[in-house]
Amino acid sequence: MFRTLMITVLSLVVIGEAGAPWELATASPPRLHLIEIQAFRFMPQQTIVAPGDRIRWVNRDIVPHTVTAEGGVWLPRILSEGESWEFAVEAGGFYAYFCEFHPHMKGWLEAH
Amino acid sequence: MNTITKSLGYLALASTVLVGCVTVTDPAKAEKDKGPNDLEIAHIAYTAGNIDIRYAHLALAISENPEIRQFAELMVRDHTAVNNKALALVSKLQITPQDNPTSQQLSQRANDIRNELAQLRGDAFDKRYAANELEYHKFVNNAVENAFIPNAKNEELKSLLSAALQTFKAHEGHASSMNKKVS
Repeated sequence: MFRTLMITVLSLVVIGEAGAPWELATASPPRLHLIEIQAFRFMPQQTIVAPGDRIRWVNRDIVPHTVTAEGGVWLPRILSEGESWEFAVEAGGFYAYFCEFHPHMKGWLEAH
Repeated sequence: MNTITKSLGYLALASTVLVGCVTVTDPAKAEKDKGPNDLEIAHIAYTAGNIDIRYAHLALAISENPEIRQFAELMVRDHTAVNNKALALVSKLQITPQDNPTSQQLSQRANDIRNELAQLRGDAFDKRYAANELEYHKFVNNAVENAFIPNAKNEELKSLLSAALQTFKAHEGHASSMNKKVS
């Protein structure tokens, strides 16, 4: 009886472990989010991301813009027309950013 | 010079630039009054950008107000970028922008304003520079939106003017808030 019970328990453990890869397979892989700078706006203005995701800003305007983080989370980047820059979000949180040249341009990332 | 007189200068210029928008029935008058052609538009737009860059350099030489200096740096940066795009288009299309009375009047008026600004210091300079930037961008935006874009025949020129208008409208908004801060 005890032997039967142990076999059953061990079988459940094995099945449980076999299920683990299935769970990993459904976890979202890191994504790349595109934020276009166009007509003096960050589009989209708000981007929901997950830790590990990458964000790419592309300047579609004919004048330079910056992608500057509130609180200096990353070093400010100047993007001329057609240039892009990527940032990897490492931790959850709220990341507000703006254009130093045109301060009315604001955007934010929500990582969770 | 009072504010009304200052504004009248840009109004007079605006009427010259926008004359092509007026409906006329006399063919000879229509020919004379038709809007600027692409070569003239390119010349006026480039001249207008250069004028604002020169105002900005004057501001950077005279003003110690961080708000004014930041705006002036923005004008140099953005208008240089737009004018470089215009030069690239001119080169690509292998055309030569055509000098015209509107460009000449713009330049003459800009010389007068620069001479006036150069005599001012401190708050007096900052207020006059800020007021002129707002008036100037209103004038330029009106001309680009209602005369240049509707009259431009070349699609690439029209597209560049549309992109430039977005830039200049952002400047107008910035100039408006700058005026509130320095007045």
